[in-house]
Amino acid sequence: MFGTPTYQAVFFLVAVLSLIFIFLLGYTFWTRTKNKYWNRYGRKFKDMFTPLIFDYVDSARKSNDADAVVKKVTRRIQDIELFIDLVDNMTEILSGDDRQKLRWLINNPRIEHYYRKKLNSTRRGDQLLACVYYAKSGVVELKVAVELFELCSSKNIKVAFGAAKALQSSTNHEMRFYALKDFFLRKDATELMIGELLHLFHHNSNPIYQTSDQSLKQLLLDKNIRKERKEIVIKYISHHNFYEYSTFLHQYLQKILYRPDNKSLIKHLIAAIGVLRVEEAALLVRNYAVYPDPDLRVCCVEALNQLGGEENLLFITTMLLDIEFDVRKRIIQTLVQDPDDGHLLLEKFMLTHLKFITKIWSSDLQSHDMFVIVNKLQSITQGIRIASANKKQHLKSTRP
Amino acid sequence: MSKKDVVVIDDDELTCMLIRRILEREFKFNIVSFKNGLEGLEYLENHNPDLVVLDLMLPGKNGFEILKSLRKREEFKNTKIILVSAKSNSSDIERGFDLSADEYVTKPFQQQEFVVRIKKLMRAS
Repeated sequence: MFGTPTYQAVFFLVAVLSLIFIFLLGYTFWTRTKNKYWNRYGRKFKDMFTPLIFDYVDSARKSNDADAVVKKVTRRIQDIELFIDLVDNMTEILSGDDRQKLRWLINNPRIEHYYRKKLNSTRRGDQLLACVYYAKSGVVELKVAVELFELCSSKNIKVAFGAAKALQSSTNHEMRFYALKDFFLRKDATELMIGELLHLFHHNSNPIYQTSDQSLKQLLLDKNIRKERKEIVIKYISHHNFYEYSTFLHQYLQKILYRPDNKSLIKHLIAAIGVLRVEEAALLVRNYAVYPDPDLRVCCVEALNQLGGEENLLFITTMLLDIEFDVRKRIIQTLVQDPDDGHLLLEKFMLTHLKFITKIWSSDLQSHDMFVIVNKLQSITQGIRIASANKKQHLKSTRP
Repeated sequence: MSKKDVVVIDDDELTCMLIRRILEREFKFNIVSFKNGLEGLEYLENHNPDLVVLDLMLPGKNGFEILKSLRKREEFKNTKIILVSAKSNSSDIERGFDLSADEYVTKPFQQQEFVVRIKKLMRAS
């Protein structure tokens, strides 16, 4: 029985599975032990260096004073990484002169030299480590910038992103802009990467804020940059309430021709115009509100509601007879939520049309076409009632 | 003059260490520190320190809750409470002062500034 081929096959399978199981068990045990060791090592490293760095912060007067602390860090990759992490965490607690002293540690020539070598390495892991370091320490030397620009064109998106991020720490505006633009031109960059890079490029506290403002406009006007990327820039502008772009966004919308491939960009622009309340663009948005694309009309309704004003709200109310259910629904929702005259306009609409319906029922004008119109009006008035009731219920439940 | 007692409640080890260092170096206070809001509050059930340094984002119980429960108790009427947080929203700062915190320090801070604020507080007491 034991010599049968079936038994041999089962035995072989069990043996192989047992070996795999033992290997996985051993591997898990080994990785856990390794992690435990490094965690313990990290804690000891922290315990040893934290007081040392605090003492250094209290006593340091010039950048050379950092040498004494940095000399104590061995040249092992783990030690240098732990040291940089520790100093980085401290910069989150300390500000002013203390923070400047911590920067002296990060920018110390011994450490910089170590990462410069990593930057020249052909290993991706090393290149990434160097990029992370330069993003923290700042790119000062032209040689480093040149090497980072080379990495920006790497086939590996992670390395290219790391290098572009590192270049954003430079004080040279041109350098930052070209790194950003190069990354925008890549096909493999994700929306999140673009957003993060844009934020690093344009953050408020930077003294080059005024010039970077011009650069975002250049990005939007660049014909080589894909429309999806431009949409991210527009979203970024509106989410951060950059009102200084209002006129530019209006002019930009005027310039773009309505084509199927421009539809999404136009929608983003209209949404941004609504958020930033670019009142001078209201007429243009109202023009787009009668275009055949229902998504675009919904977008216009929202923007016009955000722009506010009697004229825009009246315009939205006239759109209540729109052919698309989604558009009508959105109009009712926005007008019901409107804190000013929205509700009054809906009430007026209901009263006028109810009178019209009563007149139709009592007259001899009843026809199939009339019946369709009356049905639509009844559906709209019912929608208004439901939305109003929902709002009342919501207010009741949120009232303390 | 007897040493003043200070309780530091902050889950961030580095912040805790830094505050301890500053207080020991500048004021020679007796310092007890906790990383958890509940543990800190439990300690404060039986102790009445002169100063409490409190982080807002804490595991167990957040800083606002601890501040609220301390201020309800009569024995903590004269205890100075400093909130230390990375939250720098005006609404958080306002809430802290509404709950009668004596100071609000936002992270990152300068050591010297922290010392000056504590000196001012302790003088007032």
